[in-house]
Amino acid sequence: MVDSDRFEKLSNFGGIASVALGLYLSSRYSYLLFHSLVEITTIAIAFALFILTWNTREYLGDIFLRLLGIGYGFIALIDLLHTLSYKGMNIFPGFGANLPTQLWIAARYLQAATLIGVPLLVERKVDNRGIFAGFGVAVTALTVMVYSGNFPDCFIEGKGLTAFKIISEYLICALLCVALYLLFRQRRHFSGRTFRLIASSIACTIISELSFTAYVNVYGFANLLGHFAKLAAFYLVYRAILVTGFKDPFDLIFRELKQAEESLRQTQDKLEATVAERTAELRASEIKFRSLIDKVQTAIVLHDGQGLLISCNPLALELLGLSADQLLDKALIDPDWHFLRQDGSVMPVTEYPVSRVLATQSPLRGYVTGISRPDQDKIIWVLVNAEPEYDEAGTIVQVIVSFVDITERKLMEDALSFIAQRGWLAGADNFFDALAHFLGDCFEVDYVVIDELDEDSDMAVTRALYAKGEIVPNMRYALKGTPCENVVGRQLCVYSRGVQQLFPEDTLLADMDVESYIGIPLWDSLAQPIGLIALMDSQPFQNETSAATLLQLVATRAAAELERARSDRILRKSEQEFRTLAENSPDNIARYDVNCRTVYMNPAMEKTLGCPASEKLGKTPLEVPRINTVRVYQEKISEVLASGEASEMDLVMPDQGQGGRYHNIRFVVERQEDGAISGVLVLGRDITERKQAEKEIHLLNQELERRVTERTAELESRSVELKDSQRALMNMVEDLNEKTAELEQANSKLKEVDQLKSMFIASMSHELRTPLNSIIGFSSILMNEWTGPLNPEQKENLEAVLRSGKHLLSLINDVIDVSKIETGKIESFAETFDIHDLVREAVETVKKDIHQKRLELVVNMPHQILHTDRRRLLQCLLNLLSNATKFTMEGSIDVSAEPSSDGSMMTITVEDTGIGISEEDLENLFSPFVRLHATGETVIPGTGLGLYLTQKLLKDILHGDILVMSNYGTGSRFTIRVPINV
Amino acid sequence: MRTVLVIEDNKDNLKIVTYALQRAGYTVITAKSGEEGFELALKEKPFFILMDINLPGMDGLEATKRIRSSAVNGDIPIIAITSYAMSGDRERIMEAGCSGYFEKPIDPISIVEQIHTILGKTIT
Repeated sequence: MVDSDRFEKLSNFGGIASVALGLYLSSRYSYLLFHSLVEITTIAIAFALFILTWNTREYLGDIFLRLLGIGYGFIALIDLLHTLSYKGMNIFPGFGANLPTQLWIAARYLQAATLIGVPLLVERKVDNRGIFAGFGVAVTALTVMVYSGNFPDCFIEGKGLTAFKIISEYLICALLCVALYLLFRQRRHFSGRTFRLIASSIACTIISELSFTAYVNVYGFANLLGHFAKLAAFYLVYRAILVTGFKDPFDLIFRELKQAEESLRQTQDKLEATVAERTAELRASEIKFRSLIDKVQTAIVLHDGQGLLISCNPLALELLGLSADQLLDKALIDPDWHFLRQDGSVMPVTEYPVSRVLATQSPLRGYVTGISRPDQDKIIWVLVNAEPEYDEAGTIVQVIVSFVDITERKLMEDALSFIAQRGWLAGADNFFDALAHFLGDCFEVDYVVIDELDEDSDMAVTRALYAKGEIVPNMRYALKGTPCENVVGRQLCVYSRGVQQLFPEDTLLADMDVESYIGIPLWDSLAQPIGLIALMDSQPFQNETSAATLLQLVATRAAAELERARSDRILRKSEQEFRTLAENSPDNIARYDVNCRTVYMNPAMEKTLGCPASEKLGKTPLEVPRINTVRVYQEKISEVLASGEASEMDLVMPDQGQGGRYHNIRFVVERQEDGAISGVLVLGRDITERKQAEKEIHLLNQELERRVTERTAELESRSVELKDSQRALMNMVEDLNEKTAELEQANSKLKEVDQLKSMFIASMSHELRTPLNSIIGFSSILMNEWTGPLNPEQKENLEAVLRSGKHLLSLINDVIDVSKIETGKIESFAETFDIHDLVREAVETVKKDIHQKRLELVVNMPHQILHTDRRRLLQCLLNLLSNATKFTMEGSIDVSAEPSSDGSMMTITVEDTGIGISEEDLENLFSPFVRLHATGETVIPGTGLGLYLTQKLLKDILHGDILVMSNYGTGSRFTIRVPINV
Repeated sequence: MRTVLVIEDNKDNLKIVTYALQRAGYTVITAKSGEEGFELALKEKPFFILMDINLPGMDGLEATKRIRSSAVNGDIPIIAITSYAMSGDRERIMEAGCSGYFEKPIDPISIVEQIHTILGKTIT
C-alpha cells in the first residue's frame, strides 16, 4: 500500500516534471507555442473538471466541488478567448495585446470571486442551476464588456501595462488572500488534504498574479513564471476536486462493496457449517439415544398391540437370560425358564406384565417378578413397569415394558425385616446367633463373627460364631495382628482376597483357611468402639459392595444389642452391689411402694422390728402391727408420698423393757425417670448413744452459758471502772492543757520581760557611756599634763579615776555584747585582712602592760589572709591576751598562729606561764560572771564576762571554737580556731 | 595652720576633741548641729570634718550626704564619731559617704593618730 502510494507519487512527480520541462523547452523555441500549450492545458484541465462535475453533480454533496468545477469551466471559456487573442495568434485582428490582457484580468477576477465564493457558500445549499446561471451571466457580461470596448485598457503598445491592469493584479492578489483567509476559517468543512490542495492552488494563483504585475513583455520571463504558476494552480484545483469528489468517494464505495461481499461469504460459510453441525448433532443424538437405550440400567422390551415382541435392549436380554432370537420366538426357550410370583411360585403367562396391560388397558407399575433361569441358581428379582401407548382411537398400539434388577434391594429388605422381627423376638445371645446365621446364609460365606470388645480393648469375645453353616461355641482372642484390629474403632474394611498374606501373624486365619475378609466396627451410643462384625470366606469375595451395605444396615442394630447386653450386665452387677451393701448395712433400710406396701427390708430392719422380711413384704407396716409407734411411721411415709419431699424424724422404739431406743429415720422419695413418685426409701439409724451424748453436751452447754454470764457481768463492772478512770484521766489531761496554756502565757511574758531587760541594758549602757566618756577623756588629758603639771599624788589619784573609768567602760561594753548575743541582735561584718596585722594590733594594745610586768612576749605569726569579722576576732584575741597578761606574774606569753592542714581553719594560740586554772574552775570557765580563784590573795580585776563573751563570739559570729588546756599553777594555753573564710 | 571642723552637740566631748586637735596644731572650728555644721563646712572649707552621728535635728548622716552632694566641698574628708551602742550603723555610715569612723569613748591621747591613719587611707 505504502509502496504503491510512493510509486504513484513518484510517477506523478515525474509526469509533472517532464510536462514542465517540455513546456519550458517549447518556450525556448516559441513563446507563443509555450503560451498556447500552457493555456490549452489549463483550459483542458478546467473543462475536464467541468464535465466531470456537471455529469456527477447529482452525487456530489459538497457545494465547493460543484462551485469549483462549474466555475473553472466558465473561467476556462474566458481563458480560451484569451489564448486565441494572444499576441501572434492573429485570430482577432485589430485588438493587439490589450485584448488578451483584458480577458486575462476578467478571468482572474472571476477566478478570485469563485475562490472567495467557495468558503462563503460552503455551508449553504446552492442549486446547480443557480451556479451555472450565475457563471453564465458573469462570463457573458465580461466578454461583452471586453469586446465592446467598455473594459478598461490593460496594455498599451509602447507603454506597457496600464495602471488599471497592475492595480487589478494587486487587487486580485488581495482578493485571493481574502479567499485564503476565509478558506482557513472554514477549514473544518474540508478534509486536510483538500484544504491543503485548494490553499496551495490559491497560493500559486497569487504567485502567478504577482509575476504578471512585473512583466513588460508578454514574452518575458515573468510572464513565463506566471503561466507556470497558473498551470500549477489549475492542476492543484483539479487534484482537489478529483481527490475529494471522485477518487476518495469511489475508494470508499469499493471498500464497502468489498466488505459487503466478504460478510456475505462469511454468512454463507457459517450457514453451511451450521447445516453440517446440525446434521452431525442429529446423528450424534441418534447414536446417543440408541446408546442410552442400550446402556441405560433399565431393561426395556417393546411389544406391539397384540403383545408380540418388537424390540429390546441388551440389558433386557441379559436379565432375562435369553437371546434375541429366543425372545422373538425364533428359537426355543428352555422349559425350565420361568417368571416367578413374589412367593416363588411359577407365574402363568396371563400374569405376565404385558398380558396384564393388554387385559386391563392401563399401565402396570411397581410389579415385582422373579426370573428363574436354568443357567443360574439364584433367582433374579426385577421391578417391572409396563406403559401402554394408545393411537388416536384409544387402542393400544405399543406396550413398553421396563424393568430393573432389584435382587440386592430385596436382600436388604430381607435383612431389614430380619432386624425388625428377629431382634424383637430373640433374646440377646440368641439374636447374635440368629444374625450370624442370617448373614452366613445371605452371603454364602464360611465364617461370620460377631465380637464384643473386652474392657481393655485388646481382646475380643465372640458373641456369635458361625462356621460353615453351624453356630459354634464362643471364644476369646487377642486382636493384635488380626484384620479385626484394623476394623475396631476405625472403619469398614474389605479384603477381597489374600487376607492371610496381609495378616501373617493371625494364625486363626490360616487355620480357618480364610482368603477374603470384610469387617465393620460397632459403636455404642457414646461413639465408643464396642465390637465388630466380620465375614470371612475361603474364596475371594464377589459381591463385597452389597455385603458392605448390608453390614452397615445391621451394624447399628447389632451395636445397640451389644450395648444393651453390656448395660444389662452392669445393671445386674450394680444391683448386686447395692444388695450386698444393704444386706450388710448396720442401718435399717426399707423400701415402700406408692401404696405404702413393703418392697424390701434389710436384715438390720428385720432385727429392729423383730420379724423376718417375708412377713412384711407386700404389706403396709400397719398390716402387721407390733408396736404403737408404727402408726406415726406409716403416717410419715404417707405424708412423704403425698408431698414428694424428703423428710426426717426421730422415733423411740420400745426395747424389751430397757426404756426404748432412739432411731433417726430419713424418708427419701424415689422417682421414676419421668419424675413420678415410685416409692419411699427409708433409712433408719439407732442414735440412742448419740442422744445420750447430746444430753450431756446440753448440760455442759448450760454450765458454760452460766459461766459466760457470770464472767460477762464481771467484765461489765470492770468496764465501768475503766470508764471512771478514763474520765479521771481526761480531767487530768484537761488540767494539763490548762496548765500548759498558763505556762505558755507565762513564757511569753517572760520573753517580753527578757526583751525589756535587753532593751533596758542597751539604753542604760548608752546613757552610762556618755558620762564615762567625759571621765576617761578628761582624766586622760589631766594625766598627760596637757593642762599643766601634776604632783605625784594627784597623778596617782587620777590614775585610779582613769583605771576605774576604763574598767567600768569594758564592763558596760561586755554587758552590751552579751545582751546582744542573747537577744540575737549582734550582727557580723566580714572584712578581708592579714592575721599578722590583727595580732600585731592586739599585741600593741597589751604590750605596755606586758613590759610593765617584765614578761617575755613571743609572737610567732605567719602572714595569712582571712575573711571574717575582724573586730570580733580582735576582741576575742585581746581578751585572751589581756587575761594572759593579767594572770601571769612572771615568765612569758606566747602568741602563735598556723592554718590547719587543709587550709580551711586558722588556729591562734595564746600560751602563758601564769597561775593556771584549777580543775573545778575549768568546768565553769566559759560561764558568765565566773571569777577564778587566784593562788594568792590578790584579786585580779575583771568583769567575769570576758571568756563567756569570747566563747559566744567565736561560736555565734566567727563560727569557730575555743579550747583551753591548763596546769594549775604553771600556766594556761587557750586555742581559738576560726574558719579562714566565713 | 589647717582648719578642721568638729560637729558635736556634747560639750564635754567637743572640748576633749578640741584639746587633742589643737595640741596637734589644728585650728578648730565647731558646730553644735547638723545644719550649722553643713553651713560652716561650705563656708570655711576645712581640712577635714569630725562629725558626730547622733545629732539633734539633722543628724550626722544627713549632714554628710548634703556635704557630699554640694558642689563646693564634695570631696572633703568626713570622719564620723559614733557611740559604741550604735555600731550596727557602720554600713550606713560608710554608705552616707564618710571617709572613716571611730567609736566613743574618744581617747584624746590617740585620736589624732587615728585620724591621720584614716586620712592617710583616704588621701592616698
